[in-house]
Amino acid sequence: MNENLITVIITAITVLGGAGAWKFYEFIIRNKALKNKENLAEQNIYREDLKQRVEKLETDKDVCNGSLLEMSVELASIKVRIEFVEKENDRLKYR
Amino acid sequence: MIRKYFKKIKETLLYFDFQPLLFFWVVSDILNNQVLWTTLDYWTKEGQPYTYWLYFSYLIGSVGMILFLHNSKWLSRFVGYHLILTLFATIRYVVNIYQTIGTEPLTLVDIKNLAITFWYAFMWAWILFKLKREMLNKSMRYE
Repeated sequence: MNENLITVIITAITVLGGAGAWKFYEFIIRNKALKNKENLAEQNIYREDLKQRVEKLETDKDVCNGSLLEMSVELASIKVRIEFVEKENDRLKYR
Repeated sequence: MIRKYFKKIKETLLYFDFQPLLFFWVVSDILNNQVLWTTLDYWTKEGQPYTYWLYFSYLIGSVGMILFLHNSKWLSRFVGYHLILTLFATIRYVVNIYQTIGTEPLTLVDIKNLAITFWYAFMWAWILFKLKREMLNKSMRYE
């Protein structure tokens, strides 16, 4: 076979092989990037969910703090009343 | 428009990664191109008129690269064209050696020339790969 023809055929095969290899590489890189994007999206969803939960817990915490304060006030007043009742009771006993 | 074009070329040479190296390489390639220093008659007398046209094809590729140094898409096309020419020259050389292996022994000069031409082919393949990868990354960034 003619030397030039052989050269052209081998060059064409090499170029087509190279183009195919590049397409394969491009496919792998694009797939990897897509997976990374999906992972990132999933992570973002999880982060948003966590944010919402933290916000809800913060609100609940404020409500609980208010209730605790009210209870502490009531407890203090009850303590004072009990002390008064105990003293009154002792006084009545020793009369 | 001409001023804008030269400004873009200057910025590419100043701020880009491998384009400046490519610029110096291609300029030296153009200056070494035999089309500038010999004529078609010379190569016809040598019995290799195709070699003159091969050099001429290289010249087109090199000039194209210089002109589109700022434009990755066209630069990659000219680098690809240059790579195909280099591959063609390399494969022609290998085929020639293979066909004359029975009649002419392989000399040290042949091995040296073969190594150089393979090295060039590898270099152009690497430059093309870098360019295409840069373009791919850019396109994915805007997707």
